[in-house]
Amino acid sequence: MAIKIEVDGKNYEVKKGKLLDVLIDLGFDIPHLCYHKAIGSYGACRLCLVEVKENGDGWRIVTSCSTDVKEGMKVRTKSQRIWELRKGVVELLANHTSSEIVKELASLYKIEVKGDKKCVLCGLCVNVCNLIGISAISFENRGVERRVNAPFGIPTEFCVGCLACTNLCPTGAIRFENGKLMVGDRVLSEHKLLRCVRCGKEVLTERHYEKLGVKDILCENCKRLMQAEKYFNSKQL
Amino acid sequence: MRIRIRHQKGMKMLDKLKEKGIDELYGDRIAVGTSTCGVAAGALEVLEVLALDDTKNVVEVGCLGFCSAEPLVYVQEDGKAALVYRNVKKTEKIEEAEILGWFYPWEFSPLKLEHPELEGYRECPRLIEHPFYRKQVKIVLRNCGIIEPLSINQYVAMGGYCALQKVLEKKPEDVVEEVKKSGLRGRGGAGFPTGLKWEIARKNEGEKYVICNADEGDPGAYMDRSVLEGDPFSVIEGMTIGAYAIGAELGFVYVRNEYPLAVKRIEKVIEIAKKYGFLGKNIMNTDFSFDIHVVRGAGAFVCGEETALIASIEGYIGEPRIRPPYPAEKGLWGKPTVINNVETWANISPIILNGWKFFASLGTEKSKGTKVFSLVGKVKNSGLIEVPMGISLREVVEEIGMAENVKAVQTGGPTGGCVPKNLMDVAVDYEELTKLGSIMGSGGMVVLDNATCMVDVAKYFLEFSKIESCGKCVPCRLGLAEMVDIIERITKGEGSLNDLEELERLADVVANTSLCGFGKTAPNPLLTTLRYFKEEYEEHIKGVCLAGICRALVRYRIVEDKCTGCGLCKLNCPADAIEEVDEVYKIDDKKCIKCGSCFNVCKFEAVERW
Amino acid sequence: MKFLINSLLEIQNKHGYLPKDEMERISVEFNVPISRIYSIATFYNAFSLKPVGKHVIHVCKGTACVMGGSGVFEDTLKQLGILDDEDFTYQPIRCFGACSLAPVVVIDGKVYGKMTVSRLKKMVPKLFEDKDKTSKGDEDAR
Repeated sequence: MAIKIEVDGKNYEVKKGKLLDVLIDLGFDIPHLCYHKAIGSYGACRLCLVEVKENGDGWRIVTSCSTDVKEGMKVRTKSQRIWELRKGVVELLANHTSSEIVKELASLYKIEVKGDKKCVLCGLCVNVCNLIGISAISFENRGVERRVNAPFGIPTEFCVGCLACTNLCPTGAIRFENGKLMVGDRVLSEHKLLRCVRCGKEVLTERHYEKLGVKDILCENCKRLMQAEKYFNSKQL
Repeated sequence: MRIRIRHQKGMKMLDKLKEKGIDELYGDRIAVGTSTCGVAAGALEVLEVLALDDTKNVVEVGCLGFCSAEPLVYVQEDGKAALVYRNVKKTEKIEEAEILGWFYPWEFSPLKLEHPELEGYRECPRLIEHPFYRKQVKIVLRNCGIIEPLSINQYVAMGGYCALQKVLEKKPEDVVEEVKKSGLRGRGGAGFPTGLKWEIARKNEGEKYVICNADEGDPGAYMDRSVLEGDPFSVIEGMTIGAYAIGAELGFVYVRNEYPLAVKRIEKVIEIAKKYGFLGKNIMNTDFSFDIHVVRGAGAFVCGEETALIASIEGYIGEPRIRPPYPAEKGLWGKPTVINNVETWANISPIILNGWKFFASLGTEKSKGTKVFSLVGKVKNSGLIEVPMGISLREVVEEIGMAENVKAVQTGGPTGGCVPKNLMDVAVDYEELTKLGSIMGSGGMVVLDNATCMVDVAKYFLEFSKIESCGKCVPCRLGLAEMVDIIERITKGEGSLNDLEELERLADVVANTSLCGFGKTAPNPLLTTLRYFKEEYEEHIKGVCLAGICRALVRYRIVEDKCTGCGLCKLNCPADAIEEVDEVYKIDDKKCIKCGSCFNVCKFEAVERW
Repeated sequence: MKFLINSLLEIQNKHGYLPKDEMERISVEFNVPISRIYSIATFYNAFSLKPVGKHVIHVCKGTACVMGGSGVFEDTLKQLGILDDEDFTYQPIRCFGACSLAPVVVIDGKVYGKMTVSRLKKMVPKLFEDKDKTSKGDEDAR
């Protein structure tokens, strides 16, 4: 069922869903750090601001990730107000953190990046770990002391090393180095890496292997080659 | 069971309890106020002494509201009304204590009550004419300080559970309608129309819940605590009525951890109510079943925010969640949930008994009924008051509180705002207070005098909000921290005019991009002090704190000629920075922490601030 | 019906802190990941991961109390050596709800209103003398 909305003066027919997804599909560039379709709307970064007008009420600022499209909705993706407020949020990030994506955002507003930490506390790593059902890591403390950590600050054995978290991290704050999952200088978990039986390349962690229950450890390349060989050999017979 | 028989059975039981309650309430008794504030004033020691005389019926009651007059004790004897004594000391006989006034135990309640005649006192002043009580209209506080909090008999004698009896014979939609028409708005702070919230929950499908938000975290506000300690049955009766109205079978009271007595009392009345069939399965012999669990908070101001509170009950950290969906649609465990504040729930039974018109006849057009405020700070008469909405702030502070030398009033708690003296004619009303940049909040009212530094006040609240921030969203977590840094510099004399612009800009970002109500309102103290007391900020930038509060900007010294050598300053110095030298006292500048304690205690004005 | 937060509070009250093995037990009992229990333990003010001292002193830093002068009590306690003494745990709290009796100090669960520097200086050293006595709040007595 198509929903009619107006964005920056133009009319569009869109599918049901969150405004952020709809706007991105339409080609609009709406900055966002903490939203992921699989996880849903979390509301931590406050970057995806837009203005909406519904039912004869006035324009109001909302986060597009948490707003459902509704028939007749009017949207503004650019305005003085959005610029001011988003700039304010970016400036806070730039004052306290530093990463490629923050530098990019900061340059849009001609803001100097003065921060040092990488983590912006978007929550994607913690949320995806919960979504998968492992919940190895979580937030410790509250307010400015809030950080991603393993329970008790001790490397956790619950982490299987699936690396879903590092895949989603927008800043590279959470990373896998030398068998260790790390944020800043904290080690969240330690892993033994298993190698591809064919070429010796590191493929996955021991705990992940055990959890997946696969038979042979093969890297992507070798897996493809072996499939091809099998196919070729079966054709030959 | 047939409605008529059920009704008769119910009435019979209520009548029995009421009879017992009337005997207890209006017979001979000596009542001591032993809620947490009474205890802090020494009421338990007074109780101990009074109880030594075993010919007397000494009972413990909740808070009568006049906390600065505690310990409060009143005597009912020989068919006479209650005679109240104030600031009773454990060392004096009760007859020697100062008389506050006399009152009829039923006269604070708005309900029609059955009671015997008691004789008044001609030679003593009447309590309801005392400046503290004269302008009050008690609905929420009707039973506090009158009944023994855990007595079901006395609660029923004061009209308790008659509302529930009435409600069980109505249709749930009609109950919602009654609350809607009354105009009752959420008393926790946001002021959302209660009846509307109930209607939304009622219309949604599925299992539903009601929650009592007793996480009262505003420093300086203790209205909820007093009701939970002094009249706990009123809260659960309200919740039971609400549950019936929306179709819930399970309810929760979320009490903050710092209120152990309140937790105990609520747990106890739940037990008692179940025993008498007012709670649990088949309430008052109907098909309606409802149970209540008590969940304790664990020390997080942000858990007063409804989605954070829900997360806490579910067993998560108190992190607010995005809204929509609102709790009335999807709340606890994803089900329609009505969360209301303690005070809101305590209003329900009187609204049902006296009808919506009674409630709507009080207050202003948009803010109906009464509101309980904790009037604290630089006031002569400090305590809990309940006044009709629409009364002016000035009447509250100057007539009820008898405050002099007022500089401003901080309303609404740590995310409220400061209303300056010249704007105190504002009506206490949700919208009117918001227009001035403050909020009604939960009802905290802190009176500030001329010895207060408004920059220090803003700093205090910003620091509070920074510590209590859950940290989930960027603007609140980082924005408040930056604002604290700037204002701390200003209080040290290291600020600039640029800083004031920065503060306003940051306040705008935090207020308009934060995820939840906490972040959105956290900048209010800063914004109102900047709006109404800008000169003070400018003075601090020049390195001056006229109130003498900001430690980096003041110094103290003792004037030798004026010093009498009494040593009071040294006794009260927290840093051991005062020494006796040749029979007078001297401050060691190196050890001095500039707290001003010596300045405040010296009776001879021998301590100079410069 | 059991609530995670209530169960953790019981443990905190019994032991004076949350021992790691107790947290792990709760994790199993409620079928909740240990990472969440740890999050909760570090999020809320009521919980401590380290044992508290024999004497617990709370100074109320609520609005009315700070205005009433509680701001200097921390300095007083520092001066008396409390903050460095392992037998004592000092915690600032925001509001016990006894605001009309500001400033409020709670020592071992007992609430004292209208506290002053001189009174505090007299009371606390007595606690040094009672170092061997175990003092828990007399809330249960009420």
